[in-house]
Amino acid sequence: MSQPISAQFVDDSRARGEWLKVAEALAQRVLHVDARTAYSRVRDGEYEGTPFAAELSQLMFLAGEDEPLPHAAE
Amino acid sequence: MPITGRKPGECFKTFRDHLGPVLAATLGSQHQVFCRNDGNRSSLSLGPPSAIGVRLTSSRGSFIFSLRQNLEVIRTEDGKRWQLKTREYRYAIYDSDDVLAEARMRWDYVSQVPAGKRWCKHHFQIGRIAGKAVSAPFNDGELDLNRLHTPTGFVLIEYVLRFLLTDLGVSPASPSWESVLDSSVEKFFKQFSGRTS
Repeated sequence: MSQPISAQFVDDSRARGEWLKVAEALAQRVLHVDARTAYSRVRDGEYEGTPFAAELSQLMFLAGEDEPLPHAAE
Repeated sequence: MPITGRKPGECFKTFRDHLGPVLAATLGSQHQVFCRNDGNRSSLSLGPPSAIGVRLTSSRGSFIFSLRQNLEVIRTEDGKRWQLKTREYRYAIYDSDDVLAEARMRWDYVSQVPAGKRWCKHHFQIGRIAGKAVSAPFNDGELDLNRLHTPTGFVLIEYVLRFLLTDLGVSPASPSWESVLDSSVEKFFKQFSGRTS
């Protein structure tokens, strides 16, 4: 039986500290600030809806720098 | 029940097996999904992370479509298996490749609203154009549509893909696109359910 056609998936696996470095490079390149400062602004609503905010949020999620989730939210 | 597996990787594989054919039937298999991972977390983006998204051509001209998801696997309540959780999704349409330009329209979900914010976790927004609000008349004033987090409920990617094809005029990659979408939605609700969020 033939397999259904699928989009291809490309993996890039790194440790959290490495993802934070990628986030730092992005924040420096775009806003000239460190990643945590940039992410704080993003969480406060600045740059809302921009690709920068989306990308930084993903990187900080991977870096484990997103806000801790209370168990009640599970 | 949500997507579960004996190992974290099994959950991610089930999710990919679900998403891959849907994207191929609608937008085409030429678009790659990049998965950046760290143990139990995976961030997906359609197109390379260095790009904003993938450029699509439609009857209304071309635009950039961005699909991003933050996924995490956690232990099930009995501690015996792993289950997939969607921490965030962002589906957005851009008409510019400026990294600081707002999406023309976007569907967002965050599992935890940032401190100090009280808007709905699942919402739809219409961005400003070159810093100028898109507005709608409301009583004697105007509503800035970028300020409105219009509630949506959990938006399936299948719904957004259908919108791209039927409302924005993107040509489907496969003649069977509609049945693929319908089957995928049915599978989601029967096998994975809203608790995936």
